[in-house]
Amino acid sequence: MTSAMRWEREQELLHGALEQEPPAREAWLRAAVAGDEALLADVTSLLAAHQAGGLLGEVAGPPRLYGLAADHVGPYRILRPLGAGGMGAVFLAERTTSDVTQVVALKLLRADYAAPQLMERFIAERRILARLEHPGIARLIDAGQAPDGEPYFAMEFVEGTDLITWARQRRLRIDERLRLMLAVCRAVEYAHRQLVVHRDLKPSNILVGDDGRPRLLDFGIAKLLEPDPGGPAATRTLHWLTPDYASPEQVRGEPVGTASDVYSLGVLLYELLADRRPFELDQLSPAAMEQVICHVVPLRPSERAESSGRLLRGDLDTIVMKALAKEPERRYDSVQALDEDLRRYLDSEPVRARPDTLVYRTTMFVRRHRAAALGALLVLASLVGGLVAVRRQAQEAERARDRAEEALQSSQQVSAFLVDMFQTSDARNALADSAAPRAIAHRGVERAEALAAQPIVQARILDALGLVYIGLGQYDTAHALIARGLDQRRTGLGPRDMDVAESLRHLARVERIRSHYSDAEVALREALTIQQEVARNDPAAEIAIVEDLAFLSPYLGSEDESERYRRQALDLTRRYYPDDAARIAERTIQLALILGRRGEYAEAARLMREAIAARRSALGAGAWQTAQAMVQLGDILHDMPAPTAEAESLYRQALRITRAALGDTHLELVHGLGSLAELLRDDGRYAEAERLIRETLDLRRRTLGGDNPAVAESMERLVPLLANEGRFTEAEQLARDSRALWLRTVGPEHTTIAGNIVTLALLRDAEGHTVQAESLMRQAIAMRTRLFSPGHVLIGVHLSVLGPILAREGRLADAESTLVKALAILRAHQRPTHSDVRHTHERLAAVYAAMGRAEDARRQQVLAGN
Amino acid sequence: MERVTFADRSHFFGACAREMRRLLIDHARRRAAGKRGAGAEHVPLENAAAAAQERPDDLLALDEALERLAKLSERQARIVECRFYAGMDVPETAQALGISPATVKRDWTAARAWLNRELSA
Repeated sequence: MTSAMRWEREQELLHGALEQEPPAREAWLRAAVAGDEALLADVTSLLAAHQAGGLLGEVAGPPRLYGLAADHVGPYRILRPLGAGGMGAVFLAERTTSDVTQVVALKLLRADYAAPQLMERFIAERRILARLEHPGIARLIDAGQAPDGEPYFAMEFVEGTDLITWARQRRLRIDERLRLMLAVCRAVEYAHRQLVVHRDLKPSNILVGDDGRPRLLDFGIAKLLEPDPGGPAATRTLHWLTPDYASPEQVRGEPVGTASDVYSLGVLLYELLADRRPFELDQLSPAAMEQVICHVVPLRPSERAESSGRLLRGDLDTIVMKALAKEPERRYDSVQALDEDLRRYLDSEPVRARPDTLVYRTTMFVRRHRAAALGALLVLASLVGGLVAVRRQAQEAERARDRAEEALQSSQQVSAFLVDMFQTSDARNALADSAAPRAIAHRGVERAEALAAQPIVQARILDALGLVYIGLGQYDTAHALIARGLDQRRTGLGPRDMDVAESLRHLARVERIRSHYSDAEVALREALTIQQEVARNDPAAEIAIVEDLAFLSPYLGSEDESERYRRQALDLTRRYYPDDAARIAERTIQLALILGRRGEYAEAARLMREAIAARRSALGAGAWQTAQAMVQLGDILHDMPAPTAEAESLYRQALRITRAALGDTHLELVHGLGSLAELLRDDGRYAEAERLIRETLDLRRRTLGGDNPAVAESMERLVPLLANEGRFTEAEQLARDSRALWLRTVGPEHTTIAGNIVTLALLRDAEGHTVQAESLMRQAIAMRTRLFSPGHVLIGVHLSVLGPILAREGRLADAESTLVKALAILRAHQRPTHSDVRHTHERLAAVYAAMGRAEDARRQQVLAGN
Repeated sequence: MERVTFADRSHFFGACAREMRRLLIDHARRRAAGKRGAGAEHVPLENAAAAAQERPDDLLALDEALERLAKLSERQARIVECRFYAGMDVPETAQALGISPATVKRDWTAARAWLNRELSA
C-alpha cells in the first residue's frame, strides 16, 4: 500500500470515528481496523491530534500553556482556547451545576497577577461588576483562583469579530460605522451610570456578532489589575495595557475616570473612520510612547484617511479631536455628550464640538511642554514621515542589518496587504465575475503606491502583483510592475542579490510572453550568474533558472539548447536531491517532453514511464500528478509512427484519476481533455472530440474569466474540428473571436497571433480557398520569421503546411521547393522519426507523384517510414 | 510550444495563496535567524501572518510538514495554503480550488489533524 493510499484509509477512519459520539469512538475504531494494530495506533494518534489541536488551532484541548495539565479550572471544564492577550489566555469552558450547563469565556491570568491582595479586591469588586446587565455588555459571571494560584474570570461567552475588523471586512460606510459606535457608546454610558469605568476599551474587547450588534468584554477588569494607587511609581507601568488606546492620564499612571473611556472611544472612532490609529506606536520606546500620547496632537482623521478623507473633513474631524483632547477637561464631559454629537451628525444637525484653533493647538503644545517640545516634534515628524527619516539614518550606519529589519517590520504589512486583498474581495463572486480579480489586483497596485517609504517591501509587492497580472493576462501591466520591482531591488539591495535574481526570472517570464525573447534571455543569464556567484547554497533556485532557460530556448530557435538545459537541470537535481524521487520525476518528465518534441519517441516514452512509476510510488496511483504524466506519455505515443490503442486508454484513465482527485471543474483537466480530443479527431470521432474541447472552453471561461487568453486557445482548437465537419460559419466565428481576444491581451505581433493566422489559413484551405490560404500562411511565416528566425522549427512546420496548398493551386514546382526547404529546417531540429519530418516526406512524395516522378516519390515514401 | 498553457497554471486565488505562503515562510526564516528570546507560549496560531512574526520556528516546521503532506495529498496541502496562509474561509477555498465546500471541510479536518500529529511527534 502506498503512503498516499494508507493516508486515504486513515482519513476514512478519522471521519468515521468523528461521526461517533466521543465515548464510542475508541470502540468504533477498534472494530473498524479489524485487528490492524498499527493502523489503530496511527488513527488513535490522529484523533488525539485532532482533539488536541496544536499549531493550526481551532480544535484544542486543555490549556497546557500556563502550567495547567488538568482540563479543569475551578468548577469549569476547558473546551478550547479562544485567544491570548497581554494579561493571559482565554478559553471556552463550561460549568455544570445540577442539570444546567453554562458555557463561559474563561479568562486565565498570568501567574504574575496572582498577588495576595488581588483576591481581596476581586471579592469586593466582583459583586458590582456582576450587577452590570446590559445587552451590549458581556456579563461577569464569576471570578476565582485556579488551584495553582492563577486568577480567572468567567464571563458570558460572546461570539463575534472585533469592531475594527468587522467594519473593515464588511466595508461599512461611514454612517454605518458611526451607528456601530453609537451602540458602543450606549453600553459604556450605561456602565458609567453604574459607576464602572472600562479602562481598557480596544477593538479586541468589542466584539460584533452576526446580528451586527457590538458587545463589550472585560468591563472593569482593568481596574482590578491596576496596582494600588498609592504604590511606588515604578510599579505603575501598565505593561499589559494596549498603549494605542490608552489615555494620557492612564499612561502617566494618574487616576483615571470616565474621561479616560471617552479618550479610548475617541481612538476607536478615529480608527473606524480613518482606518488607522492616531499614532503608529509600535516602533517606539516606552518613553517615546508616553511622549507622543501625552504631548503630540495627532493629525486629523481626514488627513490620515486614504479614501474617505473628504467625508471626514469638518464635523467628524472636530468630534474625534475633541474626544482625543490631551486634558480630560477639554474632552466631551461624558460619553453621553459624545454619543449626542455623533447622533447630531447623523441627523445632519450642527454638532456641539468646536474645532480647536491651530493657534490653540500649537501654543498649548509648546507652552505646556517647552522642554519636551523639540523631542516630541522630532517624533511627530517621524510619525508623519512614516518613520522613514529615522530609519534611513540608521541604515547608513548598519545597512545590511537594517535591510533585514525593514523586511521584518514591514512583512506584516506585506501579509496584511495580501490578506486584505483577499478579504476585501467578495470572493464568492470573484471567480464568477471576471472583473473582480482585476479590481482586486488594481486595488493592490494602489496600495503598493502607499508604501513608497519602504522601497524594498514595495518592490516585493510589485513583483508579486506582476505575477498576478500575468495570471490575469495583462502582460504590459505585469511587465511594468515587475520591472519597477527589479529597479527598486537593484537600488536598494545592490545588483548581486537573490531577490534581484528572482525579479529577473519573473521579468524573463513576462518578456517571453510579450515575445521579447532576447530580453528574456539576457535577464535569465544575469539571474543565473547571480545565483551561481552569490547564492551557491540554493540549488533549487539555480535549477529553476536552468529550467526557465530550457523553456525559453525553443523561442530563441534552438531545440538543441533546450534539450541541453533539460539534461543539465536533471543532472543538478540528481546531484543535489538524490533521494527526492518526486523532484527527479519532475525533471525527468521535462526531459522526456523535449525528446518527444524532437522525435526521440522511444527514449521519451521510456523516461516518461519511469517518471510515472516514480510518481505512482511517491504520490500514489490516484494522485493527479501521476495522471498528468500519463497524459504526457499518451501525447508521445500518439505522435509515434505506429499509433497504438494505449494512448487513448492512458488519456481516459488519467482523466478519471484527475476528476476523482480534483473534481470536474479543475483546470488540470484541460490538457487531458485536449489531448484526447485531438486523438479522437485524428480517428474521425468528431462529435466526442468537439464535446471535450467545449468542456475545456467552458472550464476555462468559468475559472479564468472570459477575457483570459487561455479561453482563446480553447476556441481556436475548435476551429479545425468544425472545419473537418464542414461547419465553416461557426469555425470562422470562433477564429475571429479568438483573434480578437488575443489582440486584446498580447497585441498584434505575437506568436499566438501567427498561430491564429495559421488556423484561419487551414480553415480557408478546407473551404477550398487555396489562394487565400496561401496568402495567410505567408503572413504567418513572415511574422514568425520576424519574431524568431528564418531557421526556426516552426517555420519548417509552416512551410510543410504551405507545400500542399501550393500543390492544390497547381504550382507543383513551388510546392516541391517549399517542402524541400521545410525538410531542411525540420531536420536541423528534429529526429528523422518525428511526425513533422515523416509527414513532410509524405507530402513531398505526393507532389513527386503528381509531377510524374515515381522514383523520387518512392524514395520519399521510404524516408517517411512507410 | 504551440499549446498555450501559461494562463491555466495561474489560477488566480490559488496562485495568491502560494505566493502568500512563500512570503511568510521567507519572513519566518529571516525572523528565526535573528530571533529574540524564545517565546514559551504555545497558543494556536491564529493566522500565518502572526505566526511568521511571533513564532517563526513553528511556522517553518509547519511548512516542512506541509511539503510532506503535499506528497500524500496535493489537494489537502493546497487547502491548507488557502485556509491558513491566505486566510480564506471554506467557500472561498472551495471556489479557489474548484472543489466542493464539503470536500474542503473534510480535507481541512484531516489535514489539520495530520499536521498537528506530525508537529507534536
